[in-house]
Formats: sequence, structure tokens, C-alpha cells
Amino acid sequence: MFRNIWAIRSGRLAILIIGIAVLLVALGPLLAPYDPLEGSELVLSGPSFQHPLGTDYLGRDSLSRLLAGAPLSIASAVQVGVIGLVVGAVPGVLSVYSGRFFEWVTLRLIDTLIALPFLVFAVAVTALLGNALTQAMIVVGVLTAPAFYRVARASTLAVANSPYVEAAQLAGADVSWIVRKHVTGKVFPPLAITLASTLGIGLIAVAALSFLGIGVQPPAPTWGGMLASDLKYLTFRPFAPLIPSIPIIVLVWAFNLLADLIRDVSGESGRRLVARSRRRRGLTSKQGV
Amino acid sequence: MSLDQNPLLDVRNLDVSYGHGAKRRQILDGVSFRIAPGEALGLIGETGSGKSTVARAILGLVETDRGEILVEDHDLTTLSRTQWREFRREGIVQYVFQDPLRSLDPERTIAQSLAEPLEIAGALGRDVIRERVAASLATVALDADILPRFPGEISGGQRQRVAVARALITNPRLIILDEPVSALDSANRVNVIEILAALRDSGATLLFISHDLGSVAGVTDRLIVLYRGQVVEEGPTAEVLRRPGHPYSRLLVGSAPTLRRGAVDRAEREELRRLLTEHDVSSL
Amino acid sequence: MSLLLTTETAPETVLRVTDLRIVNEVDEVVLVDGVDFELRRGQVLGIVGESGSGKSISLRAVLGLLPAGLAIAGGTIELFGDDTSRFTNVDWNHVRGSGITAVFQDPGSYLNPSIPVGKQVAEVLRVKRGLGRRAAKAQALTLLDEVRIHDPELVFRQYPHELSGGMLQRVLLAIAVSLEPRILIADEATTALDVTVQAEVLDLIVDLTERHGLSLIVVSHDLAVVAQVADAVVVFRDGVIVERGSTAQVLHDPQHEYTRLLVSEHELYGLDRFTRDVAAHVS
Repeated sequence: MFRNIWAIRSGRLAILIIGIAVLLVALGPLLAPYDPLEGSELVLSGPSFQHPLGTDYLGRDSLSRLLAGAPLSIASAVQVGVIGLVVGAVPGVLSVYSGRFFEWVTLRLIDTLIALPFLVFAVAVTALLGNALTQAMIVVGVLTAPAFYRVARASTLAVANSPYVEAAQLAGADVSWIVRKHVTGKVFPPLAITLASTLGIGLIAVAALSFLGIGVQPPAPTWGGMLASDLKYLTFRPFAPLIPSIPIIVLVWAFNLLADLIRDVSGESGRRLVARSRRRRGLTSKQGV
Repeated sequence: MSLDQNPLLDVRNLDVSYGHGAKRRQILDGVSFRIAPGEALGLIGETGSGKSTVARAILGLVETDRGEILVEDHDLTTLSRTQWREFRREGIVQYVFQDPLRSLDPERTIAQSLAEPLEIAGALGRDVIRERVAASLATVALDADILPRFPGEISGGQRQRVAVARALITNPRLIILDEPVSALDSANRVNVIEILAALRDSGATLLFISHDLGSVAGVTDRLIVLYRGQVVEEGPTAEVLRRPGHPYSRLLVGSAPTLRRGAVDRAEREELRRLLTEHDVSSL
Repeated sequence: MSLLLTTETAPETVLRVTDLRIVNEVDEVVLVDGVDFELRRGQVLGIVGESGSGKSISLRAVLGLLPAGLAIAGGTIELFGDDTSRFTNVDWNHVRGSGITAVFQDPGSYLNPSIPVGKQVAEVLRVKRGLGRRAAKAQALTLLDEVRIHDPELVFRQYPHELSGGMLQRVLLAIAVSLEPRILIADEATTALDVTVQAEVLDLIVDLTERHGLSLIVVSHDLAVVAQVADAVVVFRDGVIVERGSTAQVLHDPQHEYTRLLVSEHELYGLDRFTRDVAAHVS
């Protein structure tokens, strides 16, 4: 699938952006030119040679704070996505094959989760369990699980009733074979799409929560926190809110673009699309993935 | 065909019903028939005759109320779920679906779909499986270049031939075919019918299930006519088609369109219809 | 071989299609490439062809019902002597129903699922003939009886989902003949039905044709269906007509290899292997 997405022009852009994000997570704090916590007397300055993005109200270098805050924001977004995937997709697939009771129980649990508004609930949980970002992210993750459950279940149901699965059953296949050979292939693309867009949701959720002051205490740098403090000094540095916002926007856009692309390259129409793209680039035709 | 030999398939007094209490519907009522080894039997019936249920009962997809289904020495009505799985992995009985497009997984290549029954059985090594897959193409006149393709990329006729090849790959003793040519156009129909005729000639035991007399007339040795869950006629194909006895078989044979005028004309059709609506099946 | 007789007493030609060309405007593919056929009063014309051969598209052009994106690129269609390319919507409304009418393959999709079928028959009479509610209902019941529905009063009140394919096709035939048309087109009208029901509906169509003095076009992919009822046959393949002639001719002495394939399919593998050669179908 990766190869197929690379084959399409817009796919390469999305992968590039996400690749940079990954780099930032790994190396962000190390690339920071200054200590993000260290203030200076140069307060609320605009872009300059020493401080390419200026400094905030305590004289801290904005670029360094941006880079230092990256791992937290991006890692939290990934955390949300992964939790949602595991908590949602696995029961989703199993609900088709594990009997009526399991199916009923999971469906009702998922219905309950959908009813809860996630930011409000996340705030409420931190009030209960203490002001830690991880707790809040786990909650947000669980609250995104319904989407994965629904998608996994729907894809599995569509496959489970088809003649080719019946053909496999007639050849003596057990549930494990059917899930491995026929279900997973159909379930992956929709799940990947859901994951990609959930990463965007996670990023915005963590930014929103840290904006509200939940999770990470100042002076630790977070993108949401930067946005909150910068807003108070808008008249002095009007461009300041753009500094954390633009990376958030670009990353969410890249995640959603990736989601669209996974959808586009999947299935039969996807194979045709990739073949056309390859031909246009003058590559010799390969025998599919 | 010799009746002295042990039949390959022996269905005795099969009863299948659906639903409970007031909503209970009898689908099959005392259905009995046999297929000798190397014989091709056609099971003819229209909607509501129960013909698909006969196939599903033999394949273990539907519960039977009464009766036995004997394949070689196994009584299929007594098998547990685990025993069914083992029986199916042996590949003794195989099934060709009506719709070639939906009976192949669209996301797996032809090679993968053909190998699947052997892989599930788990008894053969990968190389042997690959050889068997390649060999299976020969019996249905397909080229090896079809192997890496996906079902959506090949024609309907090719798909149905792949389905037949897949049914043959476990060297089954009995092959059940459900409306094998109904979904195909003329040129493809002839191709597939010729392949099936060749199969029959090579000694395979076949059970054709169809509502279309024309598609099974050329490939079957004997015919059974099913009407409302009961067998109303049985005999060599030529006999049943030339001199049908039961009013329903006469109506059926007389209704099928032919190039030349058949033995049953319109007036008689009207008479037969009247007879069938007024009387209970078993009294005729 | 031309179907036109040269004597003065030849029945009038109710439909004449000359050199018809139909093109898909979007991708410029020619779907029907120079097709000629005609239908005379009281005649039964059989059209044989696979899906994609152009037969159904040609008939839709005759009915003025080409789907969006397809257009007539050449040739003429004369219905009762009038060139249909000059027809306005009003002209079409006038000629459809009382001049030319049709029944197609999947009867359920031509009926409104939320209205009882009897009302749908009556509706045609009220709209086109201006009959009042009671008169339309009475006429509709007569029509349902004419198409051999056993209990017209009961069926009148039933919804399409409660009726079998054969019954639905009868209802559509009732609607088709309700306005006393002169031409009836049956396009794969029996294809989706069970064998015995097919014969019933086909018998009914022939009956209606005789009783109302209709001219009939029967379309099927199965040569045998057409052979049972048609006087003359035309075979479509890939947008052109590859064979034409009287039924007896086409069956006994097919010229084109495609027709020969169709004939041999029945004779080698079909029922014709077993039916005694009672009498060749006579025109």
C-alpha cells in the first residue's frame, strides 16, 4: 500500500509532511537552538536572526518551544489513534464471529461511548483522576473507538455473508482462516482511513486540552499552551498565534490527505488509479501489490 | 450406468422444513434419489421447488429434519461441526456457485483463489499446490497468464471456468453445480457446457441443479423433476424429455422454448396448468 | 432478403427503421451502426441478440426513450408513416400508449411499490382516457381478468411486493394494452421468469396480440423464445444486423456464423436434441 501511495503525486506530499513530523518527534528537542524553558530579557520580540520566530512574554525562544512541544503533541495524537484502533477494531471484527451475547454487549457499549462529548468528558475525567495529559488522552482515545468499531464491524459483515467466504467454509475453513485471508484485507483500508483522520482529531484534542491548561503544567511547552499564552499578548505580537497553529493545520491536513489516498488506492478502482499514475510517470507496469 | 454398484450419493427420505409453529414451511418432503459413480444427474425445479435446499442439505449448510444423505460411507446428516470441517477438507464433495463474480474474492488473485481449498486442507506443500493449480487450468482451457489477475479483470466466462477449476482441484468424488451457465451469454455458455460435457465423459460424478432444461439436457444422463418439495419424475434424460409422465413434468418440458415445435402444445399446457392448480401434487 | 412484399394487398408498414445509427455522445462510441428493419400490421417480428448487441437501444430509440448521453446520429424511424425525429413531446405523449407500447424485463421496477397495482392500471386510464374513478376501476378489473389473473378484485388491492414476477408482468401487460395500442414491444419480457411462467406469459402475449390485432416485436437473447412466436427474425450482433429472414429460413438455413452458433447451441446441447422434428415452425 505504501508503494501505491508513493506512486501518486499527492501521496508523496502527504508522506513527506508526515515524515517531517516523525523527525520532529524524534529530534525536535535536540534541534532547538535554545533551552525552551529559559527566559531572557528580550521579551515579545518579532522575528530576528537570533530568534527566527521571535520570543514570547517571558523571553523564551518561540522556535525552540515549538520544536520542544512537537513530540508531546504528535505522540499524544498517535496515542489517541492507536488506543481507538485497538479498543474499537478488535471487538468490531470479533462481534461478527463471537456469538450473539458478545455482539449485543459491544454494540451497547459503543452506543454509549458515541453519546459522550469527548472534550467535556476528558475535562471531567482529569478533574476526577488528576491533571495528567496521559489520562486525558486515553479517555479521548477510548471515545474515538466507536468509529473504528463501526468500520471494522461493517467491513467484516459485508465479507462474512459473501459467496466467496461461503466457498471457503465449504472447503473446510475455520473462522481464523476466514478472518486472516478474507476479512483483514477488506478491513485494513477503511481502518487505515479512520486511523488517519483520528490522528488529526487527536492532534486537535491535545491542542485544545493544553490550550485549556489541562494536562501539562506551565512552563512545559505545548502547542496548545503556546496558543493560550500568545493570545493574551496579541496586540504586541499579532502573528504569534500562527506559530503553533500552522503546524497543527498542516499536519491535520496531511493526515486527512493520507486518509483520502488510502481510500483511493484500495480495491479495484485503486489498482486502476495506481496503474494509470505509473504509466504517466513512464514506469514499466508491475504486477500489482 | 449400473444400479448394482454402490451409489456415490444416496439421498433417502429427506425432509427439510423452515420456521416454527404456525410459520413452519415444508421445503422438502420425502426426497429420495441416487447418483451412481460416473453419472451426471440433473435436478430440475422452478422457484419454490426446493432444489437449492437439496444442494444446501448435501453441503451441510442447512439442517435436515429427517432422512439420510449418504456419500460413500459417510452419513452427512449425522456429522458434527468438527466432523463437517474434516469432511470438507477432504474435498470429496465440491460446489460450483451460480454467480461467478461473487464466488471469487475480489481482493485475491486467481492463483490464490485456486490454491485456497488445498491450503485449507493443509496436507500438501507449497510447490505441489502450485503444480496442482497450474494443472487445473488445463482442464478448463485457461492460460497461465490468468493466475496473477484479479476476478474483476477477467470475463464472466473465464470466471466461471476458474470456479469449475477450483471445484476440481481437490479431486472430488461428487461435484454439485448450481445453475452453472445461467449468468453467461451464448458464446460462453457453449464453452462451459462443453467443458462440463468433457468432465462427464472423463468419469466425474455430477449433480446439476437448474431451472433451465436447455442447459442440462446436453450434459446429463438422468433427470429428476422436483415440484413443491417432492420428486415427481425420474428417469433417463432422453425419456423424461421426450415422454414426460407426470403432469408437472409435461408442463415443464412443454413450456421450455425450443426451436422446433415440441410434443406439448398450447392447449395441453392450459389443461396441465388447470390440473396442477386444482389437485394436490402427490395425488397426481 | 427484403421483408417487403410487392403486391398491392400487402398490409401497411406500421414501423420502419432505416439505416439507424446511435452514438454515445460522451465517448463517441458507435452503439448501433446502420440498422434496418420493419414491422407490418399484424406481424410478429422477433429480434435476437445478446446484451450489448444494440437491440434494446434501437427499440428505445423507436420509443423515443434513449437514455441521456445517447443520440441518434443517422437514419430514420417512421412510426405509422411519420418521421419520429420531428416529434415534439406532445407528439410522443400522444403516440406512446395508444400507438406503441412496451413491457420490459424486470416488471417490479416499472411499478410504484407504494401504490396498489390496480390503482396503477386505473391511473393510466384516468390520465390518458379521462375516465372517472369508478369507470377506470371497472375497466382495470376487466383488463386484469383479460390477462388471466384469477381473482382480479383481490389483486387490484395488492402491492407489487406481494405479487410474483409472473403476476407483475401480467399487470404490466394489462397496462400496456389498456389504451388499445397498435404496436407492442416485449423486450426480454419473460427472461427473468421461471420456465412454466415464461410459457404462460408468452402464450398470453400471443393471445393479446391476436385478440387486439396488434403488431408485436418480441426481443430475446434466446433464439428459441423468438422462434416460438415470430413470423420473421432479425439477429443483432455488436450494433449491426447479421441475419434476417422468415423464422423458418433463419432456423433451417442460417447464413451468418453467429446465427449458426445460436442454432447449434440448442441442437447440440439443448432440448432440440430430444424433441422430435414434429413440424418446422411455419410462418
